Amino acid sequence: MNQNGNTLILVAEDDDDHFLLTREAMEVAQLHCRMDRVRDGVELMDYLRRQGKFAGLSGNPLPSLIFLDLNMPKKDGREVMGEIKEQSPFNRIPLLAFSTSLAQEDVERGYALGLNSFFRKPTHFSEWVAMMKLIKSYWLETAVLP
Amino acid sequence: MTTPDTKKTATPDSPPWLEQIPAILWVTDKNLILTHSSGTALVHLGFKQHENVGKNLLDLLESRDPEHLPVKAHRQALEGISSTYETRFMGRTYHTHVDPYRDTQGNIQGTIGIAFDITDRDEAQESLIQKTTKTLKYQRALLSLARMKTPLIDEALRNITKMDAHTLEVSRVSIWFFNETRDSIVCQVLYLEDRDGYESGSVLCAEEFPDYFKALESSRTIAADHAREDPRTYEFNSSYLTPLGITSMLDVPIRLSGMVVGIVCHEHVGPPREWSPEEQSFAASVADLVSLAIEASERKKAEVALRKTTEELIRSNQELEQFAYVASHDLQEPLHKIIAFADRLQDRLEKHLDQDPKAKDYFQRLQGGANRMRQLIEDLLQVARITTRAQPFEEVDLDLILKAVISDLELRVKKSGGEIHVESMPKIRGDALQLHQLFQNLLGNALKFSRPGISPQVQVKSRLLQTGLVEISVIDNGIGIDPQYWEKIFKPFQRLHSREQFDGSGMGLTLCQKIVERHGGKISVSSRLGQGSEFKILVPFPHSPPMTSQP
Repeated sequence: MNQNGNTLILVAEDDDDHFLLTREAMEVAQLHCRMDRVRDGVELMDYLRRQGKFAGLSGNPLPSLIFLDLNMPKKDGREVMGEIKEQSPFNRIPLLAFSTSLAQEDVERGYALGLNSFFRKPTHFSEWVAMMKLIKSYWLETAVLP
Repeated sequence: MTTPDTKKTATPDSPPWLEQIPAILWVTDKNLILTHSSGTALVHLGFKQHENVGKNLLDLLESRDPEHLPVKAHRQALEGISSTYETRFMGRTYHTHVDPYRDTQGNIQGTIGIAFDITDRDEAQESLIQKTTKTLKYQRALLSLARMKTPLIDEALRNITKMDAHTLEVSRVSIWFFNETRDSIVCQVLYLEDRDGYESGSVLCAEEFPDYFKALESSRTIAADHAREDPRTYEFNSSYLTPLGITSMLDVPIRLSGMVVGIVCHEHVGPPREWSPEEQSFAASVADLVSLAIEASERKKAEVALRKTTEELIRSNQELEQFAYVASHDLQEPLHKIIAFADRLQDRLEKHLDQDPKAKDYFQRLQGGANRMRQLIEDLLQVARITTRAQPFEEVDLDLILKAVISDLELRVKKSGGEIHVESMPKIRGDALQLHQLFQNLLGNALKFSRPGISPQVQVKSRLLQTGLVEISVIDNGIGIDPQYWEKIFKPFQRLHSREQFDGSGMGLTLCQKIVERHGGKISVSSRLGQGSEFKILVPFPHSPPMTSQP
């Protein structure tokens, strides 16, 4: 069952604290996998397209999951969502969005664009852990990924 | 061509009443020889009474021109045709009727004429026409001034003075206003007819013309035909009237809410002129128009100012709401970090804290405070979202909303051992999400604020009011609210109990009020301490029949 180690998750998160919480919650939830991080929408697209400072990744497999923070500098998650979902082969990567607050229009637009899940960033660390456990059991242990 | 016959029937034998008729009567024979005439007739015409009988009418008329109306009429009468005409004779106007004169067999024996002197009537008519024409001219001028739509008072006054001068045919028409201290008047505009131009700016000190200003206060118009001698206007003579050749003045005070604020002045140059009542009344109307123009301009100014203020208020209110939203939203994030990392810290220090109860207590207080702040911010955000994140109105079935709310509250109802009883609810137009929130809060409160040992009984009722509103009541048997707090409880963060008694941020009813207000309604409470409360909501009921189609 421990095939998590081969899974690559791309985390798009500008906030170091949130990144730390995400990472630690994943650890506690025993969601063991490789993780790459980008800090804004521009970097995210560069990463996926293997261009700019990510040109060296060319030939490496794409991530199995993307964690997308909605509020990022330069190009925020709202913009980048459409770009990812419009473009093959990126559009087949499950895209999970996270935000501190959930504005109704963001949620609706996100799902309309093909977003796979929308999460409110939890407050308590125990909630972070619970969320990561769910993500692990659903996306990595139950659902079939491309 | 006279005959003895005609002489015999001549005027001296005419009955006396004939002389009294206010008309001229005459009869001729077939040869148009005058056989009878009423006494006044020929005297009136300047002839001596008897001299004319026996004379040929055509000689008397001094015309044989067949187209001359009297000649034509008498000739036609001999042929059996009657005619009516108006003619002027010796300076007077006559309405004349000439008929054939027939004997008992119906044979034409001559002519018979009757003429009424209508000179006076004509003159009266003429002067009436003149008067009417003038009145019409005045009315038209006033109408066109009244229709004038310029919010610019200076332009309005220019139009008024020019139109006034042309209508009354006056050389100089000016409008003056008192200054703020009311000790002098300032000429706002003076129209000069001869130049078709304007001047302004002259100032007159009221002190120097006491009689004039006294008269002004008490008159509707000052019509001074001989302005230089008139007791009301003589003060202007040496400095003003004589130098400018002004002889007659027609001045009208401009009143605003009863107070004289200015004057419309008409100054006539040339031989003295008598101001007719019509002219005076026209001038008075012009003054009324000026005060209307001032009022309109003031009102316009006030309207513009009011609109600006309103827009400003709306804008600043929106900004404030937006600010509240953004501020509380942005406050959320660092707070969440504090809470999350406090959790982390607690995990790491768990063993240490177990050995140090004081540190553990501090730590818990820290977390309690952070959690409480989180709750406050969340509630604040909810209130801000009522307007900043509003959904468009749709038809909402309150029955369904209440069912959903009760199902949300099911666990709490069970735990409290109480009951919620809902009567049939109407369909209204609104934001379903917000209405859900509204009833969730109200029913939640009704369950929460129950008396110890008494299971909460909550009733929700509605009734249609004549005013087109729906009244929805949420009635409970809880602890009740002291009347002095009835209004206060809707204010943000207002709480009546300690958190140990009843938890909460004090934003619940603020949220309710905001939601009701967004739906164009009102919420109020009436209650008796220790006996329960009734929250009443009034919202508009849609006039369109509710849609009945249900899936």
